[in-house]
Amino acid sequence: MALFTPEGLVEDQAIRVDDEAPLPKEGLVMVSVARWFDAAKEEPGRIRGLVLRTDDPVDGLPPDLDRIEFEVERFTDGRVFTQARLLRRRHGFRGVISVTGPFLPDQAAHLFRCGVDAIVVPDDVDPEPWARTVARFPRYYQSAARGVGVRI
Amino acid sequence: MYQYDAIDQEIVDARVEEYRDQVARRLSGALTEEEFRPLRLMNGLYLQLHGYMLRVAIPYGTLSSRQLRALAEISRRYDKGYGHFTTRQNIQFNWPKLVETPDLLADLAKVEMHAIQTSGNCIRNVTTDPFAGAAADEVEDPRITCEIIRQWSTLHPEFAFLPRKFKIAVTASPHDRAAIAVHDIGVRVVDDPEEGPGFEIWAGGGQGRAAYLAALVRRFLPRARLLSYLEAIMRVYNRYGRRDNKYKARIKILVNSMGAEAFTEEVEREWQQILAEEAPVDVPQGEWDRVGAFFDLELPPAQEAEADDTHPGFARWRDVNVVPHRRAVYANVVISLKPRGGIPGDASASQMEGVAELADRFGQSEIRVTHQQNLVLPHVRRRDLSALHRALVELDLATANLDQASDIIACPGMDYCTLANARSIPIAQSISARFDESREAEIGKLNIKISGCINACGHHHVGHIGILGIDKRGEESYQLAIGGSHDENAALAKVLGRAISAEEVPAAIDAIIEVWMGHRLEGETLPRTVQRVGLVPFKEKVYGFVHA
Repeated sequence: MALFTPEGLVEDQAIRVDDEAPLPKEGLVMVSVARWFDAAKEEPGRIRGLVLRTDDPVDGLPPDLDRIEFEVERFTDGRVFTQARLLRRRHGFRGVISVTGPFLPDQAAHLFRCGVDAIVVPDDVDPEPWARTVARFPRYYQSAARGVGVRI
Repeated sequence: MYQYDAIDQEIVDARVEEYRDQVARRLSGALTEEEFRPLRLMNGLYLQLHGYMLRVAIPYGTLSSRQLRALAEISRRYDKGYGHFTTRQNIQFNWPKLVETPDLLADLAKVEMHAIQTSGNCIRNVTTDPFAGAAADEVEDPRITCEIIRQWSTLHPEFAFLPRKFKIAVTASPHDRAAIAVHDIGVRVVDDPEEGPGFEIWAGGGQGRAAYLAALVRRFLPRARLLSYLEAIMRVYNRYGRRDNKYKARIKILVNSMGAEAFTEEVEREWQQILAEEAPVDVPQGEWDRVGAFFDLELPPAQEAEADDTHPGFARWRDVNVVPHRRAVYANVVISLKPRGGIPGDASASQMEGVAELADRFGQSEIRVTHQQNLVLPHVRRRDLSALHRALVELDLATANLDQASDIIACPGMDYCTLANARSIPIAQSISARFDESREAEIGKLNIKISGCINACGHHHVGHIGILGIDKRGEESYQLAIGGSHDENAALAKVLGRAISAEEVPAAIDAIIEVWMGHRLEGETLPRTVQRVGLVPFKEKVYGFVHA
């Protein structure tokens, strides 16, 4: 998989590990919240990212992770926008926020404006429609966790 | 009225191009219908029984004469020469072609109009008092608050994919003409003697399958804190509103399942956290002043004299359709879109152009759309009323029936809508055709509202008489309810009994009116009579016996 970011497509280096699978020795290892609670005790430092669901709370997460990813089943599940917004602005998370799920290119600008850094897309994705929607609006009415164009 | 600056125009123009791109991707197959659906809905495009329908936003129901002329032209070019004004102060075109809708929107953008968020699970067009800025009893013009909310809610990145649609209404008068009790959020502008300018905030009202009246969540919110408080409500709803069942997804269900008190506590907690963050969303007083200046209308002086007119129909029309203005020498004129036996809310292109002309001649080039599907010409000199009436007669727009039995709200029903179980428009026509002016003068104010299904677009829950179309073993049938209202004494109508056939509806309406007139005290509305005497006398008359 690749990542679509405001700067374009980049390689996704995450290694997502199932709850039952052994942890790799190195790399950007990402696990579920449940796994993190178990594994953090045994192998501190090995896990560098978490995969959250849209009904998971975003407060009380470890602050020094490199990445937090939201896994979304339906693109209409708008909870992820609030999660990203809170994680970035209220809880001050400084790592990468990514999302994975059946998102439409039309949602990219909203996601980025809520504080998301990267959207997981297939390797062979045509980035053109995604880039178009991000560049579409010269300004917005609201301030954003990322971006410009603030009026109020 | 508000006028776009470069930022407003850029945003609307960019939205047209975004939508054009989305339509092109749908036509090329890059988007599936399932993917396209929420995108087109967020731009007001529905797929109905016979084709697409486009709902155009009329922010807080205010139009300039130039905009109304543009709507007339659009109805000729892209539709069949008419438009349908809705209960949310918008206009719908029933016959556009999908491929032409981007051009239609580009034409709208030329007159500072759009279809942004007129549908979909997002914050919809904000509605308000149709007499805003012209009412005698308002604290200030509620459209200032509406415009601030419009800008904040337009393309809001966090709240574009809510559990369900979200409707905000604003009133600035003690007499609520915006029905705030049946909205997801109701805002009442107040000027508190101790606290100063601010708002009363209500939440959790709504119609649809299960109707709820809103709960008061904050008695006083300082003006400066409006947007952060709305953000807190939206965030609590976005996080905790149900997403597993679309019939349980409105905020009214969340408020009622949590309890109004617990919901309020959650909102207040979220709000405090927002206020503690850097740069909360609230707008400074300067922005309120900037927006407020657009609505600061200097009315030209007018003479006291009221022209007397004895031509047919004038006196009754003046008594019924003319509403007091904040200045005694002026009046607000309601133009009924409810011809007896006609389709509620429809206006032809030439009628729209005619009204635009009259707004230029007799008003301030401004027109309002009411949530009862009529139009208003605000700021008319009283001495011009007779000339205006004659001109309206020429346009077939002089029906004198504001708030009368024939002033019926009806949804499009099964004539257009894929959700409907029964037809609404023919029922409205069969009822309104039975009442003439002299009969209505005897009856007095009476609101009849008709929905073709339980989604309640015709607001039947808050009608003095509410009529709900249902499918009863494959037959179109109608359930009657009485005693609803949507003003400051908001109440939900109570179901009378078993559903009846379309043919039986007019006689049943007559029976309800007869019982009401027999029991009512001086000046008593139907809801008051129902509260006082109960349903039994009505049931007896309508059904001939009392149901268990």
